[in-house]
Amino acid sequence: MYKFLNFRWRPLLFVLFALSICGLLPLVLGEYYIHILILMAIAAVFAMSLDILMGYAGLPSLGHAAFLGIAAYGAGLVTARYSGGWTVGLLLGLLSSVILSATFGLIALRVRGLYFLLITLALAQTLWGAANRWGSFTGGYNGLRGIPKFLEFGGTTIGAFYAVITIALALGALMYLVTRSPFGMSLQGLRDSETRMQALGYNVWLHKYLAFIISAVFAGCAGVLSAFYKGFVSPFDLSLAVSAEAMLMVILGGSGTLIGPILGAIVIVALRNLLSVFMDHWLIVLGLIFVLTVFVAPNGIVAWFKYPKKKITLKPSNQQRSEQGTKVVVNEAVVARNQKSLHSKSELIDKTEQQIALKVSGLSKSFGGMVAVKAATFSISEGERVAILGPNGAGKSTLFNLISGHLRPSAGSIELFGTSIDHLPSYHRTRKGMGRTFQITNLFDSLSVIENVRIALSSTYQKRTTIHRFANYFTIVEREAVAILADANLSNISSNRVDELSYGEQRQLEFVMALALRPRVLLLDEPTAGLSVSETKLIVDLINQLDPKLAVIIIEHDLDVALNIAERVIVFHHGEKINDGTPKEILEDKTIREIYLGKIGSD
Amino acid sequence: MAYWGPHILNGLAFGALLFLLSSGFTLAFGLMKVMNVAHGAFYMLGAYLSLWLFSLTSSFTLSVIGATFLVGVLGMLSEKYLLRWFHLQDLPQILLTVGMAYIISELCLVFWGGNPMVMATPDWLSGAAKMGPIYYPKYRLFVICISASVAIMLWYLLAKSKLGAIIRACVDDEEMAGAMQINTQRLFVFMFGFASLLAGFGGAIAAPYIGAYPGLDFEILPLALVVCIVGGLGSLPGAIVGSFLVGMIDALGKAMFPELSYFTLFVPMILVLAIKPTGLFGRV
Repeated sequence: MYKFLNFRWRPLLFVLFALSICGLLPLVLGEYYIHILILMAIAAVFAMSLDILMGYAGLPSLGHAAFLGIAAYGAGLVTARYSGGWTVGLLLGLLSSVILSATFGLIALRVRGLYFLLITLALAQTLWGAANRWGSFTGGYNGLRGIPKFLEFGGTTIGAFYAVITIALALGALMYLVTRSPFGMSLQGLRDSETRMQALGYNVWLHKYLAFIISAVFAGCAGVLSAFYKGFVSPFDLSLAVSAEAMLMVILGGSGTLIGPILGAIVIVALRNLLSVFMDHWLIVLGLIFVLTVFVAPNGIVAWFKYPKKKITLKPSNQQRSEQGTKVVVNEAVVARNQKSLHSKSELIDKTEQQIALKVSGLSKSFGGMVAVKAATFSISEGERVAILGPNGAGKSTLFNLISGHLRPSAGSIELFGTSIDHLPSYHRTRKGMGRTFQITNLFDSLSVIENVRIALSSTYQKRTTIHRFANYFTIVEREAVAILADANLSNISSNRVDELSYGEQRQLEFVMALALRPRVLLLDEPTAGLSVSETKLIVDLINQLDPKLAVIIIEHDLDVALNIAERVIVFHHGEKINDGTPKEILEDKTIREIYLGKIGSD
Repeated sequence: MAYWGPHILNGLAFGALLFLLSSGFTLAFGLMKVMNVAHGAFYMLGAYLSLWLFSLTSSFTLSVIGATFLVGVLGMLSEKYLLRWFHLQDLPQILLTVGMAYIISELCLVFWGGNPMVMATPDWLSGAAKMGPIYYPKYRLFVICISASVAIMLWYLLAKSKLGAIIRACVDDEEMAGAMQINTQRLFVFMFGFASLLAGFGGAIAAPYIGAYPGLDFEILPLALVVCIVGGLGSLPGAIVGSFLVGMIDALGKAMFPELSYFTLFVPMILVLAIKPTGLFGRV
């Protein structure tokens, strides 16, 4: 029985439940209330479509009404003016949403945050102005009338009610699938951390662009529904008021959930229709609802019902966990995975000679007048463990960002296994086998541990843009995610949210995610910074257990850690490489002692 | 010249009005990262208040000053009692300002009804001035002069005065400015009030030119947005150049393609976005 309540079946149950409730409602309610229910359903579809963009992809927009409006106009014009059928109207309406969003997306996605809001708002207002003034085509201020009411089956509101509710529930179920698919997970990843997504090999821009278009198509569905139900479209459908109200519905209900926008739509549509009967100035009340929402339900109504999750699994203390960590945990899946990865690599690499994994020549970066990295030149062979040492501000992290592609170099070139990667964006370098961790923990905070790993794995299995299946339903990915977490001793916290984890656990997860991509070159940016002694030991052990063919470059401040891991040390100072040798040579070098400990005998 | 002169002057006058409108919007954004959706409503309120005060005092100067002051106080109150609690939180601030815009515009409808109102031009500014071959309404020339003086005053305030130095410090690093004994909270209240005051002043000055009518708020707001997108959000020179460009393109566009007016406004915006997404003078 419990199995039927897990999240794969929950939406189906919800749909069945909603269908049966809705099936019965017209028996008890009058026609006016049925009309309100229909408006609620349409508003809910629209609010959910905005939430895909806002709550899931983290791109709040104030111009979403443009996509609803243009689809309504598209469908309305074809059917009312050119006597097209409902299929032509529907297709043309949705097509206009797609074209419009593909165009707007090119413009608006060049910026982010408040700028994105501002630009979507301004673009939508352009259309609103056009619909108002271009009277000969759109009907102007008075709107477009005479659209056939295709949804009124049997010519009654009840007929329309059953039609709209069925379509709305189907659309809701589709959106549920989209948000839980690997693509939907990638959007939530983007919302939490774009740089991490790049480091995992995701094309961030493309995913945002697709999300923009997909949410516009769902908004377009709401628009077509509205046109075919009301038989009427007006410039109001394109206006800021509609966009802002949808945003209110999403936030009032709870963004980042799909039930939230449904609740928000029900509350707002109900209040508007019930209150405007009693008062002339409903907009004052609506204004107050906007203000009150911010104070009373900043995280949405949904949050009122969510209690902080109690951790059911008893977490062992860090001490115990690190003791476990020193033992090699034998796990069949892990062994299989390692063998598989070794196998796949041995095909690529000639075992007899060590190939050069990464070659950096003349790499420089200056910020304005400040030279952060000056003509860095070195190469690292396959299987080598190299530490990069240097005091603060030596340009170590900048060097990493240049190699991984998060920064563009001022000069110089980088080769990965003999091929130049200078022109590749960072996500493409990841796909070529470059993995990295970040100095400051960079994870998807609002997702669970296993979801983090799943996003990383979906990238390697090229399930990045899969949209029609649930993310946890890819057996290979799921099995491997479980295995990886077991391997790292994180199984007991796999369903905890990342922001509930201890710092040590987060660092460990960061490491595990970089490895999940099976990189051939791994860049570790201070993996042990801020960790306790036992946690540090755990990470060092993990690094020492890595595939011996993997080339590892590690930035480390802690000399003990660096010397424990590295067989070669490169020292940077003021952006320049000043030494390159074995740990022993480095320790004996006089200039390096001076940098770290100061000159003997100087003032 | 006789044909294009008035159109160019129209562009200048409309640009001047746009500057009064958008300078406040851009200041509030630059300093506090507030995207004030109620800015258009503040402008409309300024117009209605000056009309109302004019009907009481029948003095143009008094009604403009009074309306400007009242809108400024309203701005300060809304920062102090509403926006402050959500400093740097985009979405709550947007919801708040949308709510404020709805309440203000509906209250204007309650108090002043639905009919468009235009203020009588004061005697000393009515009629047309003769400039070479062209006759041009004196009031619009007055708007151009007023806006130019506001621009100079703002430039002096931001670039030369001590207050300007404090504001620039807060824009760069608010926490550090706080550590330098600057009362950032009071500064924000003051500056948001000042930004609203500029909107109210724009509305009051435009009362004899454009007037006030329901729906003006959300009709005028996109113009402020377009100016800021073209010029770059948070930048005063950006607001000046953006207002000038948008005003000119609007006036000349209206002369050349009358049926596409309003639409022509957005052409410069899309061009600028395609080339430099942060606007001509925008940072980051």
